[in-house]
Amino acid sequence: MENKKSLYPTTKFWMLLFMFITIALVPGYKYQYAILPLVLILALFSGVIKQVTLNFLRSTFILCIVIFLMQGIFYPGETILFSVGFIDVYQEGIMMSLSLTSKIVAISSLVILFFATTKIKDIVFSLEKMGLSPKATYVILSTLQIIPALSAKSETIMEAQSSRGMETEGNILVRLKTLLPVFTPLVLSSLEATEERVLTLEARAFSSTAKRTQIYTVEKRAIDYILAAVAIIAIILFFVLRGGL
Amino acid sequence: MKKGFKYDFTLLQILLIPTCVALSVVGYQISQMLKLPLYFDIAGLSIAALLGGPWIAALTAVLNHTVNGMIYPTALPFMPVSIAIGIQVGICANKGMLKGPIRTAIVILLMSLIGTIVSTPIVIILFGGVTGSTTDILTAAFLQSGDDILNAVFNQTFIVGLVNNTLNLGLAYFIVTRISPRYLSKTNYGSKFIKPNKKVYDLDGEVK
Repeated sequence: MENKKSLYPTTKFWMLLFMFITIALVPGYKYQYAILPLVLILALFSGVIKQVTLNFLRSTFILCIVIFLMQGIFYPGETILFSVGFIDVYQEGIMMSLSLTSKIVAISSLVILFFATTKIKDIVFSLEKMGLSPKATYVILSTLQIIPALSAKSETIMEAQSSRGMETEGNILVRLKTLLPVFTPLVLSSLEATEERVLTLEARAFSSTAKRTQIYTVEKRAIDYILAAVAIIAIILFFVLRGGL
Repeated sequence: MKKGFKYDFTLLQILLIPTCVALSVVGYQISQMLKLPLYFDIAGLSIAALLGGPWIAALTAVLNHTVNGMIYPTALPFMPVSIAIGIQVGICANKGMLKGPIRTAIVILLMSLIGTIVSTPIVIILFGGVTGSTTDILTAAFLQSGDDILNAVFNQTFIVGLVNNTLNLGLAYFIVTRISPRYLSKTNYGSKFIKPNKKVYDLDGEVK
């Protein structure tokens, strides 16, 4: 995705805040459920539809199904909607699950869309511009770099240990025991690496308090100011109207 | 070494955070790969607490849930649970509560209790008592036996937490005691895990 097309992260943040407030405070579930198709359409236009759908299915979908099952069967209700065998499903439970899941679906789809369309680099840059210390932003960025590296390393260690006869299949105790020969070298080597990273960073004047220059920048454009202002006014209007009603 | 909020954020300590977050994520992946019913996702947090102290652990928890939340937004509301556990384990380890089985058992009990107290309201208010993992079967079993939702979730979280915390903290402790003394001595809280060297050397470097 071309950087020029993307909005400034804080603009998106204000828009998200408006959405979150309305999702939490608007009664019913129809508005909340309407957000999912909206998110999917936006994702389609941003070219991240596959990623968004996949993350949504993995994180939220199963959870919502379980909520329906649990609330439908166990919520103390009186009106029986229908019965499957000896299990009665109550209307009150279904209503409860609808109001719960609608909010979960709406908020989590928006969060997924936000992270799918926003580069972490941009978020970190805007955070640093807002006054977050460069140490903190380095920690955020390096976390995201270390995770895939460590994940690859754990696979290497697993293969190496199984070639030495470590069992990865069998009953649960056998599988639990394999954790030690995998985890121990992983932790030890990654902690040793931290020590080296400290030396490398200090050699590059990481702890210096002088003003830094940025090699990567994101600029706010006119549309960012307009959208952020609209979102903030919408939030204020929402509260005013709600208070008046 | 000076400890406390003002002194804990040395560069070496700060760099513990990304490593421990990554360990938590990879711990989760490994437990899925080995098809374990429990997730080793707070082993990294425990290591951060043992080596870096309570504040580094709290930041590790914040970052861990943010990173998870990018893909699994339903992990975000549980951030306070990990923060509370991280701070508690950090303080307990610093006070020498990990010496001996009885004290360690108290730490694990505290961990589970704090985790349960913080997470139960989140689970009930936001998710209607459901966590989306296989342990929901236990909640359903408690509900079936006549418990109300508060008790069912509380019992489920406490029992699962007890097993989970024992294994996670055990793993973290096992590994921390095997880290080289050279590294442990550089962290603010790790030096108490250095095993005293019983061998006595003479001037030629030979063992007496």
